[in-house]
Amino acid sequence: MKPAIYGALKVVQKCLIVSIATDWDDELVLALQKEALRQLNRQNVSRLVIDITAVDSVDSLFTRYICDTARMASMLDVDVIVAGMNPGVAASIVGLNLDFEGVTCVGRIDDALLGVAESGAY
Amino acid sequence: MEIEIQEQVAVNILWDNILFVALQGTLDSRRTQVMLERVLNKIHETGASVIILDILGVSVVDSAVANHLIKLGQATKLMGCETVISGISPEIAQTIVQLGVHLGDTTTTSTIRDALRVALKSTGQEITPLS
Repeated sequence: MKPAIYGALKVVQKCLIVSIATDWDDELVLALQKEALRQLNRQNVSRLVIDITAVDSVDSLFTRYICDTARMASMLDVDVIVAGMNPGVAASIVGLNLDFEGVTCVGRIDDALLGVAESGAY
Repeated sequence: MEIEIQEQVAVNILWDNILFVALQGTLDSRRTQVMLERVLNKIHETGASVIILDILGVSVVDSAVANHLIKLGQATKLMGCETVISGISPEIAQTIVQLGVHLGDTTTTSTIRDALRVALKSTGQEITPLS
């Protein structure tokens, strides 16, 4: 496991939270994707929360990685929520004509965790 | 001294978790950009989950304006905030449909009252008469 992904994944209330660092690169995102899917399979997790609070720049590959991860996780019967997008990132995603197709986005991680009890995951 | 009133876009807190913006005059791409920034920053600041966009005061609604509104809706959705567009007059409804523009899953209402009703419902709040 790459040192950069230690501590980037944690399980809270049946949610796996993956935090992406500010200085992310393709290698890190793909390593996180692989590790997240591995843990989803191993632990009893019903939701994957991708925390992008720290992320301040994105490109088309980044949005593709996120969408792909969401599709992969949904094949394992896990919902995916992207949390904490900052205003600049939202503006640039729309400006680049990109979209997080089919991925639920929430403002705060609190909101991402809130839904778990509602969806009857317990 | 010249004050550019055109540039002013005020984003207000209407209710708990509900923001409100009234758009006036023309909506070109520069103004849209300013508005987008203010709206997104305010959502980030307040953590609001619904924003009501009143377009009653917008003088011309064409496909470019409709596209701006769609983009704004997409950006707010990325931040976990739903957009409700209010102030749709019969003429605007006709224009939008005749232009072949699809506003996607954005809720539209004719009055601010209806928009507030939608917003309150989706935030799980209610206004009831006293006693």
